[in-house]
Amino acid sequence: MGMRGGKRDCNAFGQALRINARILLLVILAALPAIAVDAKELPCPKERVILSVFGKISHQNYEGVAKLDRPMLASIGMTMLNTHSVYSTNAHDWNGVLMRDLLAYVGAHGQEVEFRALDGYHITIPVSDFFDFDVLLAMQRDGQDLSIRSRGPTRLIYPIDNNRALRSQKYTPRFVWQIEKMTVK
Amino acid sequence: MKIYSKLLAAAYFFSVAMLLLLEFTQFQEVDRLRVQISQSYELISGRDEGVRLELEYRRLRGKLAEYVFRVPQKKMDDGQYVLVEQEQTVDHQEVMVWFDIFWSRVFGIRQTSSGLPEEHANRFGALVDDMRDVLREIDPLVRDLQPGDWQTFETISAKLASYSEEISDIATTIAQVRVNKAAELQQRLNDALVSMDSLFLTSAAGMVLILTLFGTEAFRARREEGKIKSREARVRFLAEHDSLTGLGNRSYLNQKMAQFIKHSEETGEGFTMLLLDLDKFKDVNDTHGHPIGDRLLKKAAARLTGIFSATHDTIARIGGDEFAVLTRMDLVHTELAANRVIDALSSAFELSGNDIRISTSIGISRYPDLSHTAEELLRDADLALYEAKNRGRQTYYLYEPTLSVAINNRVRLESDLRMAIQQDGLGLEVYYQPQVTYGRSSDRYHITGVEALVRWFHPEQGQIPTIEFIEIAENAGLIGQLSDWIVRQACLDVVSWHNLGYMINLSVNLSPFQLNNPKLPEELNRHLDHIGLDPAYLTLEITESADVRDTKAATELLSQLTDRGISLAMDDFGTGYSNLGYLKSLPLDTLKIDRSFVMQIEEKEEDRKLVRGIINLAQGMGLKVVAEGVETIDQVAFLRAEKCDTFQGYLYGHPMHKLAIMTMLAQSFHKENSFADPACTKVRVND
Repeated sequence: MGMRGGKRDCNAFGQALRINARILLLVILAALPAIAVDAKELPCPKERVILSVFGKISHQNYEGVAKLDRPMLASIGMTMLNTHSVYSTNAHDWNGVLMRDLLAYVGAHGQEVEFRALDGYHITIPVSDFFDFDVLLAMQRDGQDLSIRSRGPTRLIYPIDNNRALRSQKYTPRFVWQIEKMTVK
Repeated sequence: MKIYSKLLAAAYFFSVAMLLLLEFTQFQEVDRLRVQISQSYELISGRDEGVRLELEYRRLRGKLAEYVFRVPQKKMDDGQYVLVEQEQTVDHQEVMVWFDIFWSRVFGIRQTSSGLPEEHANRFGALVDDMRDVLREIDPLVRDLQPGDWQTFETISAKLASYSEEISDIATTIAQVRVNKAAELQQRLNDALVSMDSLFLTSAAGMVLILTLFGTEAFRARREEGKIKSREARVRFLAEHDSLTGLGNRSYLNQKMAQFIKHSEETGEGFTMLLLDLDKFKDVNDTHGHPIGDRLLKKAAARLTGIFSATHDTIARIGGDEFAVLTRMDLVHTELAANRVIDALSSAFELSGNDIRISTSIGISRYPDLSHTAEELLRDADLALYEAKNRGRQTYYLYEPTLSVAINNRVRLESDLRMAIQQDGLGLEVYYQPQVTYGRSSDRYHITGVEALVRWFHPEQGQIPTIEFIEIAENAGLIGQLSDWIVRQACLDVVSWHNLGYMINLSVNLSPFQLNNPKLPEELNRHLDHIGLDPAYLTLEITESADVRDTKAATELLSQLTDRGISLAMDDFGTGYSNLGYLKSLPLDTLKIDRSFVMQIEEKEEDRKLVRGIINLAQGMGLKVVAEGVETIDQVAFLRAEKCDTFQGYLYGHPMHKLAIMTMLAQSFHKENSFADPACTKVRVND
């Protein structure tokens, strides 16, 4: 089993083989220094996983995936943004993680991110969006955790009140809600 | 460009700009429509609220069923349900996810944004409200639902099932609305594309029109420019050419000289200027009138152009009868050409049935070996022409540097002469040549008069030939003043001799130029009165000359003088060409036979006949006769035989200083007032 992954896995089986895996990791690091040079292990989720990140990421906690719960997301650093969403009539206080911080947290090295929602909705957004704007992966609205019923547990909020350019048809589909997973490409 | 074309162009530009603007907005509109259409289709294809609502509704119901029954049934061909082994199972969490998704859909739906017609919107609103109630109602049931609890499931399912048709109906309606909208947008897009096509056509037509306008304008401007150019060329031609002969004028010549000089500087090749003057052309104008004169000039110009090359040489008419030619021919050929010009212009011109003869004199100058600038070239040619005329006309003369020395000398002499006259004749002297009359009764020769002749002793150059400085005086307009001075001086001298008792006559030459001065009688009278000379002792000698412009006025003027008692003599008679009528009209007293006849009376029978004829003529007209240039006793003998008794010449004395005349007079008068023998006199008299 250890041969298969080479990385720490938050499964119980992986935990048992941790030491061996570490030795193996060293071997593989020696063999493939370029790939693994900045690899980092993420902690294991303690609560219910609300977001999974796949694809070109360096920091994982399961095989090829970073599974994140609320405390992990909160540990990245919470940012508050007061803005309308394209679907709301009132402005709200949105709390969450800046997308670029999240991408840094998982060690993403791709050009774009595919978002997939619980209901099957999916869209691909260029990473540049998250550096050009303070795009928030919102987890709370007006101090309340987002549930699926309130279009959570996470959703993307663009700062449209601060930036008129965002109030266009181009960005409307990027207000993804009920995000289930992301894939960095 | 004319103003209207400018306006037209501006209007076209404006229209095209507007068209382009319209096109641009149309482009944007098309773009917008395309986006809208693609969105419409996208919504229809799965992102549409209605469709999603139905989708999630059915998904939830499916999940609920799967969860409760765990093992789904499959309907077989015979209508019986069979249990199918199912690997995948749906847990409660998954059911809750789909319940929550549906919940968020129903609670989050925005009834106003669906774009439904009002009746449908109301129905949709009512449906959503009912659905929310139902969801709240079944929420606790779903939360506590256990697998196999088909009773609860039935309750839930029944609640949900009642909306099945309505949801699909409303989803279809919304989709239909979207489809209609998309179709409408598509129509608008088509319209926009059509209008864009027409805009394209319009602006293309505008472009074509503008290009046509500019093309026409450019064509017109070019034609206008061509016209202006040809007009300018015509004006320039007129400015640079003589309208009579069609030859270039002075300004044209100057221009050409500059070109020739430039060419010469570039190639080192020299060139020649010929300056021509038509001799006696004034006479043609005077005798035949200006129209004939003009025609003569034309013909002369034509003969000139025949001799020179039209392409290499330049011919210009630079004055009334003055022509200039520039040529690059060498000197030998230039001289040949000059001879041809002289021949050509000397042959008769037939005009209005008259054969008119003129001749020409030519001055030639050369660049750069002799003359170094255009001004010098022209001046030197002029000097050479002057010299050619001096050498008897109908010839050419090549400029040489000494010529300008001669001319400079002339200029200086002129200034010195002016100075001399102003300083009361400083350096000028009146000399007197005695006139002797044979007294038949006494058989002796008496000095009866003197002819006053001016001499100029220049302080540096010594004696200047009289002919030379008289000509200078005439050309410089000094002749009046000079004559005035001579008359005054001579009168003073003669009066002083009269006071001594030597009552002799005074002859003074009158320049032809003075006959054109109407104030002459007045001035003479003033001198006579002032000095106190009896006019009876004064004789004015005139010559037959064409220089008298108005013979009638001259005759009147001379009459005024003779009325006063002054006598009038015709000098150099026989050399001029006065007709007898004119001669008769003059109040003459005396004819003076020219020395050229007297000199040869011993050798030539014709001259003896001529002199005899003149004497007869004079006596016939009641005039006295004086023979000039008498040098021998034989001449005197012949003249006396022909009854001419008054003589003037070296036999009796050269022109001499007044003191010498005084001595001569004293001797003559005291020794019985006469010469016993001419031979003795000749020995005694010393000039």
